[in-house]
Amino acid sequence: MNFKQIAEELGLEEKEYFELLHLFITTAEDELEKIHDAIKEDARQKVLFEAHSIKGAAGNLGLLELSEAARRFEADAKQGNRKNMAQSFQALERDFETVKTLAGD
Amino acid sequence: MASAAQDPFDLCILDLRMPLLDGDEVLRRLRQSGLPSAQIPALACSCSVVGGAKQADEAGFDGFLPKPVRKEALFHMLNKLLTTREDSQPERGTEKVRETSQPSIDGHIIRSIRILLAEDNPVNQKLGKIVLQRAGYEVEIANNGREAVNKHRENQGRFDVILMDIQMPEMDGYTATQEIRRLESEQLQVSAKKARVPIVAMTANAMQGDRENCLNAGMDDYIAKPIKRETILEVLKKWVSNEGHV
Repeated sequence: MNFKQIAEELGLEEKEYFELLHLFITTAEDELEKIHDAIKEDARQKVLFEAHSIKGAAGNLGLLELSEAARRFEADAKQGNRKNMAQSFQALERDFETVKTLAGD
Repeated sequence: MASAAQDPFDLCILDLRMPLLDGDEVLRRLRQSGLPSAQIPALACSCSVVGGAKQADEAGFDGFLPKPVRKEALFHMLNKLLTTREDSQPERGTEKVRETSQPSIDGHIIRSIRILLAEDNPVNQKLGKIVLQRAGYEVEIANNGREAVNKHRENQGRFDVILMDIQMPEMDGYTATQEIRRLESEQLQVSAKKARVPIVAMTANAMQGDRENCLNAGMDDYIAKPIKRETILEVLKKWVSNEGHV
């Protein structure tokens, strides 16, 4: 993941991009936590809402792999298969951790 | 000082509210002074977005910017005002020539285009603000659909475009759009003035039928996320210039 290049493609200064990236990490961390709880409570609408939000913001920041992982999880949550959901949620969390590490958070 | 100078200033920027003498009064006196600088372009600044633009227009200003003034918006505005002045130089002094190539409240005064960005995600809010402000637009944020409806109402429908996220807490983009359209049709019955703000949907759903749902709810256009800077600026241009102001 080349953040510098992504920033350039988005027409942002590097500093601006990193500010947005850190904001994203804080926000998404909170959203993942909510998804985690919502899965336990079987609150599907809540799961879908948060997954959709991560997908949108990650995509806008050019974090395409993470956005795709969120999309896959959203699709699985829509279908409602718990096993698939658990799997794609794990993948989503993993991709998020990767971004977080690369961002130096 | 400005009026006494041998070499007149090219432009004046006045705060509408100043101690002793308000900006609009300063301009009235300047315009009536008969001096070489009497007809230079005048830009008003004020903290009051809606009232300020009206006041500035009535006082004879050529442009208006609300505070806080953004660097990009100011450059854009100065450029407009100064090129207008060169173009219309021969006519100045006899008849007031005003720039009308920018969308405006009543077709007279230049002001920056105002966008209401209805979006709940803080990342998208901040990113949208940076991109749009850099392009010279003024941006106001609504955190959900209900806030968007309220802001639309409070500002008497004076946003030039609304960018509407679909999935939002409290009230989603579809419902907010329907509500705004309802308010507009009520307003139409009261004042017989046609006012329909262009609403552009933003959604991360790549679903078929999404576009139709947006149009059915009363939206005018649709952008899919991830949103590209070029796409959004192009769409904005389309809806702003379609309003018959150019």
